[in-house]
Amino acid sequence: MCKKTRQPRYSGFFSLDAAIALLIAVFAYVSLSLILSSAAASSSSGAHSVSSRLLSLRLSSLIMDEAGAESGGFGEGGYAKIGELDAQRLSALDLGAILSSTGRNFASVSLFSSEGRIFFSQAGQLPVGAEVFCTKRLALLSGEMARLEVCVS
Amino acid sequence: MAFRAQSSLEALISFAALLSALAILVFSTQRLSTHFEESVQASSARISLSRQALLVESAAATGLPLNIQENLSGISFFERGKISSAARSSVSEPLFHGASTDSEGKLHVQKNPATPV
Repeated sequence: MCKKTRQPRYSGFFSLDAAIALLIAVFAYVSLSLILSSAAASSSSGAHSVSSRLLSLRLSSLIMDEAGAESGGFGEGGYAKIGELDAQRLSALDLGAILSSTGRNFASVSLFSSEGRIFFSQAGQLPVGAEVFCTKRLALLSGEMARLEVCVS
Repeated sequence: MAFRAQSSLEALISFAALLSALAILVFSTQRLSTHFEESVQASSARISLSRQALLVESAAATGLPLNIQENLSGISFFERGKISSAARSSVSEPLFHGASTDSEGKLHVQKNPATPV
């Protein structure tokens, strides 16, 4: 009678089952890391979006305030109408200085009337593919309705 | 006897390798989750800070008094035209109006930061 010795199915250091288990573990780890990095990027992008939108809103308020027209009135100081813009004061705004204080790359101010765009100013360079966040507000220019559009990136 | 010893040695080495792989996975996952947590916290701080900056600018525009201890939280300091988060100093938001707090926690806002209130 010849004695049959039991041969192991796999002669490698790891068995096939262990290799598959390791492969599944690595796959799960890679999937987890991709999901986490994607969620972190999404969260960061959302925060950047909220911050930029609020910054453009604040910048539009600043421009409405700085370029607001001053009319006559009682006393020496006069008063400013709410939303009334002065074209000269708007043109004199140093958008570059404002942009440098924000640490952003690009800012633009546009003013539209019923006839189209009547004023445009920009500072900085808009990077290729960069997202632009704009705030549109109603304003008055010489008693006429106008739309102020402030964008940052 | 020799075959059993070899088998148990292989099993031991396999078990050690498996434990090492598990340890590496756990360590890497911990680092990943820490990085993720930091990123989410920074995003949350940024959103909170930008909303607080809007509140400060609104207070500056309307001239209404603002008590920073009651209305704002998580701001560590105002300096050079920006506010920074208390939890994360790297997170900051620009301010168009100069602002400072006094010892009572009241916020002072000025249009020109160079001019004292």
